[in-house]
Parts: sequence; C-alpha cells; structure tokens
Amino acid sequence: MGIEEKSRKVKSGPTTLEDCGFLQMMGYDLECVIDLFEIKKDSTFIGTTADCIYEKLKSIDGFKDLASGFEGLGTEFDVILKIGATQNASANGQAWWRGSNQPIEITFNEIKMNRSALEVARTIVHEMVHAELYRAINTTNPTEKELDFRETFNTYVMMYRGSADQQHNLMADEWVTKMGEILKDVHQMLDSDGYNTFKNVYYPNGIPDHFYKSVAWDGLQGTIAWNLMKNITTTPPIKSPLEIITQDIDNVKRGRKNCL
Amino acid sequence: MTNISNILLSLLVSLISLGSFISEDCSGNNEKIILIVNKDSKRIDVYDRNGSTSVWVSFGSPNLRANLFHIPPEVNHWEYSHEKVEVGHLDLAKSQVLFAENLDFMDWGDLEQLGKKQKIYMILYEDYMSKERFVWNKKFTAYEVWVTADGPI
Ligand SMILES: [Zn+2]
Repeated sequence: MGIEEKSRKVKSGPTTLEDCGFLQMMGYDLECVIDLFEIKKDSTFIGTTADCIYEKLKSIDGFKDLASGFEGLGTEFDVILKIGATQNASANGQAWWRGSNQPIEITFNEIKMNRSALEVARTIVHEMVHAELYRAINTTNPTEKELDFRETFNTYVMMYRGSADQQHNLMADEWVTKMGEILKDVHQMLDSDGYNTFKNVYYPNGIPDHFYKSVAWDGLQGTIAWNLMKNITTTPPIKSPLEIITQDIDNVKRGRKNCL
Repeated sequence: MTNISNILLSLLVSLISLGSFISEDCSGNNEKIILIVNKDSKRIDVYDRNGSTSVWVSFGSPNLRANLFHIPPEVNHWEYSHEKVEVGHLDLAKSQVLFAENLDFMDWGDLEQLGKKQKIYMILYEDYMSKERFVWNKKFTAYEVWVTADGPI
C-alpha cells in the first residue's frame, strides 16, 4: 500500500498503514493517506519523465480500467515500476511475472527512455497490459469476466503453443483499439503546445485515430493479426495498412519528448 | 604523397572499416561515423516525407528494426536540425565507414547509444559508388541522422 504525505510525495518512508500509524504515535507530523493505486514506484522511476507520463495516464478512463485490477485495498498482486536494464538489452520495456507472492515488475529500459513522450506512454500501456494479463491468468479469485478471459487465453495458449508470443497475439486481437484510445486521450495532456506543433506539421487536418492505433501496433509485429494486416495490398494512391502504420510510427518517433 | 596513393590509402582505410565493429571515438579527433545506405537493398526502405528522409532497416525477426532519419533545418523541427556536409576522400579515410546493410541489430543498438554522444552521418550508396568516386576532389554528401533500434517490448 502506498502511503503518501498529504503535501508531498515521499521517495521513501513508511510503506504500510501500520508503519505510518506507528510514526504518528511517535510524534511525527505525518498524514497517512492510502493511495488506491497498488502500482508502486521504485525510486528509479520517481520524478522521471516516464513518471510524469504515468501520472497523466492515471487520469484516463481506459487506463484506469486497465489498472483497476491492481487497485483497492488488499489486492492480490502489486505492480512495481522501475527504470533500469532490461533482460533483453534491446527491449524498450519488460513486464516480469515473478510468482504469486511477488509484485509484477515492470522495467523500462533506461537506455531507451530518450524517446518521444507518446512512445514512452505506449510502452507504459503495453507493459501494463502484460501485467493485467498475468494478473487475470493467475488470480485465485477470478470473476466471471476473468473466467471468460481465461478461456480465451487458454485458446491462445493452445493456438500459439511453443511460442512465447501468446500475450502479444492476444494483445493484437483484443487490445490494440483500447490501447490506441488511451494514447489518443493522453496525447494532448503530455504537452499541449507540443501536441499542437506535432499536429500542425504531421497531421494538419487533425490527428486521425489510425495514428494512435498504429502506435499501439508497435511491438506487436510478428503476431498473426499483424501478418494478416501486413499482407493487405492496395492500389496506389491508396496506402496499404502497412504503409500507413510505417508512416505513423515514423511520425511518432519525431514527436515531443516533454511531459509538462 | 601522390594523389593516387592518397586515394588508395583512403580506400584501404574504408575497406578495413567495412567489417569492423563500431568503436567509440575517444581520441577527440572528430572521427565521423558514416553509414552508406543502399536504397536497393532488400533490407532497407527509404522514404522522403515532409521534407525529411527516413530509413527503415529490417532483420530476420519482425520484432527487430532500426530507423534513422534526417530532418534538415528548413523543416523547423522542434527537436532536430540535422546538417548536410560535403566530405572528401580524406574525411572518409578518417571516418568509420559502415555499410548499413551489413550491420546486425546489435550494431544498430550500439549506434543508437553512440548517437547520443557523437554525430552520425549517412551517404547514399549511389553517391558513394558514383562514377566520379575515384576523382580525388570528389565530394560526397553526408546527411546527419538520428538512429534508433527497436527490439521487442
Ligand atoms: Zn510485450
């Protein structure tokens, strides 16, 4: 449970309500507030641009839904956000399931953080979906929805047996649209001036929804859904889906890096 | 040294650097990293968009890709204002010249990190291999680029 001093966030301090109460009894001027988000931040994450982006994401309904499984008192699983080295040095991020009694660890690759803010937001959302999938699969108290989900997931496990990409295939089929919506909602909040200049240069008629969906597709290359989409051909000047995605991903790389 | 031997020397240095690993310039002698980009390579796609150039490099795995782009000052981009410079044979001889299509994904990862500390340039293959390449005072156009390498997420 995250405890915050009312007036400022603390990097380190009491980590349980009991500890906080104890410190109060000892005469410390401390207000114990329960942070309902059971998503904890490692000290490597606090105060970074990624942290700023994460805080903006928290106000987006779609992201709240995604994170809701980790919300509230006594949730079964915690998530911890870190910035550091990933097991695969070339990855932008990783979500690590370390067993039932351990928090799910999301690590953002330190050397890959110099990306546009929207790309970092995409990585956060992508890793949170991994965390949510781990949670829904492993919860010992599944809701009806989660039981349904397990059935779906088991089909994926069967379909992609031997492939480490079950989660990515599921993400490509079921999550890309939702991920795109979250990114659309957060974009303007990251840096409104930056949003406007980006729009004026790359999408003067308004940023289309496909831009955000394309950004969400990044990282899901190689899935069955991606391969199907990739093979769709069109007659010029109509652009193929792959051409549109490539151009959108090209553009997002040039976006602002700020989170204000 | 004669012009001919100068050219031979520069070609020799270029050839030596072809297959070599990418090294960091610690000497402070402004050694450039120059990528030769061949638009006709199966692994390379080049796009000209919004007054800038973007290059995509693919690898065996769909989850691995490298991207480099050149955004000239005319674009008035908020983040990037890449220069275009003329380089001669002597500059090439002093540079690390790398053929983009020969680099593996790890090399691109190294380039991404090096790019945070030093400038990386691109010369198009058709310019590099043009008929006048043996003319001593031939100038090649080198475009400063920003490199990223994206692995699985
Ligand atoms: Zn992933």
